[in-house]
Amino acid sequence: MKKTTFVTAISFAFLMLGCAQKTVDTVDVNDGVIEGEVIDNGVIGVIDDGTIYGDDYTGSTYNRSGEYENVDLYGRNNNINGGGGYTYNRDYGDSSSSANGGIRNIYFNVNQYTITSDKLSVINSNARALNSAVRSGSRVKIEGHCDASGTDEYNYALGLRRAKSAKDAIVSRGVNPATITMVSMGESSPECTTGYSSDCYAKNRRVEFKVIR
Amino acid sequence: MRFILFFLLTFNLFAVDAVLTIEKDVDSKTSLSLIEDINTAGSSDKHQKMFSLIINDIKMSGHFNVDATARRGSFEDVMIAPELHDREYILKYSYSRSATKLDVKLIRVGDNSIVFQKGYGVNSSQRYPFLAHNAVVDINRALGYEDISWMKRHIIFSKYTSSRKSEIWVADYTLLFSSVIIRGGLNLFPKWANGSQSAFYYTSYNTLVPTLYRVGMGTGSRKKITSSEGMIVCSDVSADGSKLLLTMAPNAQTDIYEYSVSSGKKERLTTFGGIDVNGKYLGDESRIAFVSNRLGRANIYTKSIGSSSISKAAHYGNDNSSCDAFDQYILYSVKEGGSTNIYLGSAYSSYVRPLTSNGVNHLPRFSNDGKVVLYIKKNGGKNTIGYMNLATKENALYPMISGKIQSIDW
Repeated sequence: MKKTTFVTAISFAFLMLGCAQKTVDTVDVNDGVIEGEVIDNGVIGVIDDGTIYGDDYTGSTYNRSGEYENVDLYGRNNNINGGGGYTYNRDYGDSSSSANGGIRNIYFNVNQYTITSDKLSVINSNARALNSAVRSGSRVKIEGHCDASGTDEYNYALGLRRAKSAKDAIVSRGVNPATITMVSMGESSPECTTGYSSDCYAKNRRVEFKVIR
Repeated sequence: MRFILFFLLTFNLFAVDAVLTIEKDVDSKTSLSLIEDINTAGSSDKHQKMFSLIINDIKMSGHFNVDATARRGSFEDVMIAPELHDREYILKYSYSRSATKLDVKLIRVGDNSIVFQKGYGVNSSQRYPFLAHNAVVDINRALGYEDISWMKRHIIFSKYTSSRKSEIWVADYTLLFSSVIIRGGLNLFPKWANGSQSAFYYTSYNTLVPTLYRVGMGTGSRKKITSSEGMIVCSDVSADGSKLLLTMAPNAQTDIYEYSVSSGKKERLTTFGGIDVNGKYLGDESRIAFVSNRLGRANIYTKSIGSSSISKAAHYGNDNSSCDAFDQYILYSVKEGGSTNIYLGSAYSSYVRPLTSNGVNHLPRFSNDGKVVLYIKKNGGKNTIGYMNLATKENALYPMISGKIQSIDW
């Protein structure tokens, strides 16, 4: 009797092991897997020598039949960087001065392009200075800027709306709108480059007024 | 007693698998080992990199369990070493001393047959990554797996190098090959002009007014397309290359326009008085997804071209400033708390799924077949390009040495 019970218990134990519940682990998509050696080699002006077969070693003891498929995307004589044919080095913008007659930047809140009431005194004094510059034949360029959070296409649009708000504000104070150009620099030209804190970002959400002679 | 015995013996007949999920785990992937041709191994400074790269590409395909041991042997010899008899396939490769040619031979161990063999060449040794990418794409296809041609395409990106200066670069997906193609001033928002990547559009800020140009990769020729005060961006190109979705801003009013490449005609698609940007074609290209702040903060919307009705497309997050679309699916970045994460959603249902969980991740992009997601991970001043294979869940990160990515396409 005891022997039978013992054998049954052992069989039962084996059955339980054999029928263990399957668990399926789902694979989390996680970051942090860095594979291989990465080089951003900053190669400038890669010259294509136009040949497919390089100086392969001689005395080959094996036979390779068949053509090599050229897997350069643009064919044998691709012109990427050939002769630097399409690099352009003109600097953007006209000669301008930002240290002109006390004209100051206007700063904005996160995601906003409304000029807050505490900035109106700056608008007033800027408008006076810009009016006098315009009367002496200058033009005005308003640049809108953003902090680095968010994506650049949206940021360029946000910067432009900030420039528009500033334009509307000085036009309502008498500056001739036909003398004003607006442009957005997005996050390309931060005033604060020393970090990523909210204070640093706050300095980059701005509009600059430039007098162009 | 007999009843008790009977009960114990039959107990497990009532156990039921409530959920049966089939996952492609490590054990079911095809096992593969590499052998480098002993006659050419180590004969150029790129040999070690080529080995690492082939391993990397095979892993990224998601279909193989590759053994990372470096082995050398005869390229021609048909014998397979005993320790490799339990592998399903051997990949023999020979990388030339000139570093511009790669020969591959895929051998099925079971019957010692050559399943695939081919030779690849590049014009310049700088382009060696494309040897490996093309070989792995073809090997994958030869074994009947889902196409992974995304791996051999170029990525194009603009990166800020200093204040008011940005350059446009092309690279392979790992950045092991990278080359600047436009520099000087501010050059932004590059976008491939067609599926064959033979030309691209970009925005130049180096003229009085922001201008959109098209550049031919083979000839290097540059052609002005159009310009707009304030800003101009080519955010999408139709599948046949005949139409562009542009963001333009006459009088600082940013809206999305559809532009016909052949006629130059533009049709304004959005009329909201705030910000509408980042238009992307959906499905048969009769609808677009785009970013707008029409409800106060940046979010993702869809509309039919020719209709004024707009639907909200992102069902998660309320600060979503960039999007991409493929067929009915959208990718968007959500700023939430201290992090920004990428979400995958549907333009036509409430389906949504997070693809990242921490850090600052933005600029999500579908591959041209919609199977792989590229994104940019920002860590302080450092940028990393990340990839996630939606089907196989393989993922990888490739850090940039310098520069901050402004915009990217692939």
